[in-house]
Amino acid sequence: MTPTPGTPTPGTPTPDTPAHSLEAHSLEARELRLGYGDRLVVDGLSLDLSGAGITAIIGPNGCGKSTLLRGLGRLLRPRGGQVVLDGADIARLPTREVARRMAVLPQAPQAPEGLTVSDLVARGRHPHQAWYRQWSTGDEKVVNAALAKTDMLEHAERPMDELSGGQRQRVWISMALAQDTGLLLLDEPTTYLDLAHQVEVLELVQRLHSDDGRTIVMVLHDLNLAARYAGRLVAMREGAVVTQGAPAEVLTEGMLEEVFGLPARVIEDPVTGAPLVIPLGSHATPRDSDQAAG
Amino acid sequence: MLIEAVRRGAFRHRPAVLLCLVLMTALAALASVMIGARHVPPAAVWDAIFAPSGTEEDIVVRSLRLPRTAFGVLAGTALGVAGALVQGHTRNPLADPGLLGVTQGAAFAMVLSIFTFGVTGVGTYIWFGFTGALAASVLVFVLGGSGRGGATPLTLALAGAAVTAFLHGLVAGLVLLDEQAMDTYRFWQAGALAGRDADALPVLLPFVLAGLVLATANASGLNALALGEDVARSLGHRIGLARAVGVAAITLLTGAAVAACGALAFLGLIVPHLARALSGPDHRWLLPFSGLLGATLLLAADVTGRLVARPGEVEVGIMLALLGGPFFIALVRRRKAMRL
Repeated sequence: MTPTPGTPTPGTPTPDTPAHSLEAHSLEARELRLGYGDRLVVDGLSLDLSGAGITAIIGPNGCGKSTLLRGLGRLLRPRGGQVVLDGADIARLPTREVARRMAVLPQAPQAPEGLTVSDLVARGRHPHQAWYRQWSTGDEKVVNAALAKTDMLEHAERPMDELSGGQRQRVWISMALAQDTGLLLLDEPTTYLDLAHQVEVLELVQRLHSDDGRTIVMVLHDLNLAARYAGRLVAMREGAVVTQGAPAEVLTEGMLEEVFGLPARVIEDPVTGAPLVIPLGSHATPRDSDQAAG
Repeated sequence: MLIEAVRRGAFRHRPAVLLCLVLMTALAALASVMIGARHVPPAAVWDAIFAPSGTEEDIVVRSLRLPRTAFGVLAGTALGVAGALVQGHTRNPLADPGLLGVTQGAAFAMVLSIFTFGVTGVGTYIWFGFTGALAASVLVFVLGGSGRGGATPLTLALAGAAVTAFLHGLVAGLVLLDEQAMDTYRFWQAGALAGRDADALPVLLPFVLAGLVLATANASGLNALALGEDVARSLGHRIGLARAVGVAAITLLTGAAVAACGALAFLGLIVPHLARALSGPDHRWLLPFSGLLGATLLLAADVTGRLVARPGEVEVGIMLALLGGPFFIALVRRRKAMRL
């Protein structure tokens, strides 16, 4: 039952989804250099994310995983190198054109007070609109489909500030879905959520791939959830990719020691068969003494 | 409870609210033409507007009340919309249209023109004021945008505060040296709709209209920026362009209003809060609501100022502060002001 690094399945449109199938896109970082102020966070990183199904970027705090995602999503201008979307340098594509192919959801976004769910999701239609064509029944349909997909349709007229954290995150994902893109980039979509809601959001992410064939790249903090829901893991340390591949190949005790500096044991998840990390803190006393942490 | 009702229900009736606001503005304008220190019967007002025969009443209505009302509509609309724009761009509920140094720029240019050229008469110094407002805003935009990150709401607000403080010092120095500049400045700073030169109207109008067009074009960008710059960018908005359009609109609208009617920026602080309670956070509604409420409030304050101290009158800027201040406090206390 190990999730395999899948090629995007073309996806059968369910009644909830727009009638057309989403285009597959290629996304690649070439010798990418990213930073803030005087500090260079990512230096010369190359990574091909094309057709990878669900990819999770993991790594310790400050390793540059969110910075990389912002660079990939053209939210941060590269210092050098380029992000290539469908063969073209993303910095040279009109930003609205990019927004029709790729949706990016930053970490913990904030909505202004009083904004209703449907108003927020409707703003996702911007890349498909023009000053002479503001709102069409087609837009309406896509917004409703996006809300149905995340089970938020019944809350459409409620203000965002009345919703729970998990519901709010589903609305933000609906807004990204309303952009109707084949590529979806998510920065820590489970931040501030309890475990049940983390699982709920990640199962939604999984459906977005398996039902509609979206390519999804997300930064994820929780290694076990990453291993369970992503087809491919990319492990980063100090702004560089250390290793990448299927969860079972990447999530090893050696990698955890090298990348996170964390002594840990990795066992097979008894439910899904995915690798499961058991951290060994310095005070952990394993039941079988010969397995003690070094 | 009320706020819940407003949130759930009222936003759905925005077209009806818009109509009400248009009617309120029209009523306020009508009151401004009808009511004054001198009693003019309604029939005489009608004749003065549509069939003037040169009576004294005609002159009062045509040369005093009509221009005054027009200035009220112009400045009120401009400051209301500019206030909503500046609060939207900075996501700061305490921002007012003077934030970008526009008001002090107008004051400085005006005082300087009196000091160096001995300019007299409202009609002339309006031009200096408007030019000064534009120049100060350009200076703030250049200063605020010169850092590595470009022009952000924070760098713009800081540059605006610095330029305002600097110009304020120069103005204070100049008015100490020149008595006539002092008198004009004091009058200007209080803010007034009366005694403006009607010739300035047709010349300022295109700038205000241009500002309103830019503001309209800015509405969708502001809606996206309210979700944060990253979300706006990922939705395909061009942040730099949206900021520049916003600054241009704020400058044109505020510059024209303060050059003509004095330091009334307080109006631009309170009006967007009232409008937001009716429109919700959607700038496509918030901007027109703010414009109409701005005009209504300014005219209402002006008319009240004519009534409270008959036969004299209280200047509109003072009335606005006296009426608007407590009203604003009540608004904040009842927590009807919305987080941006």
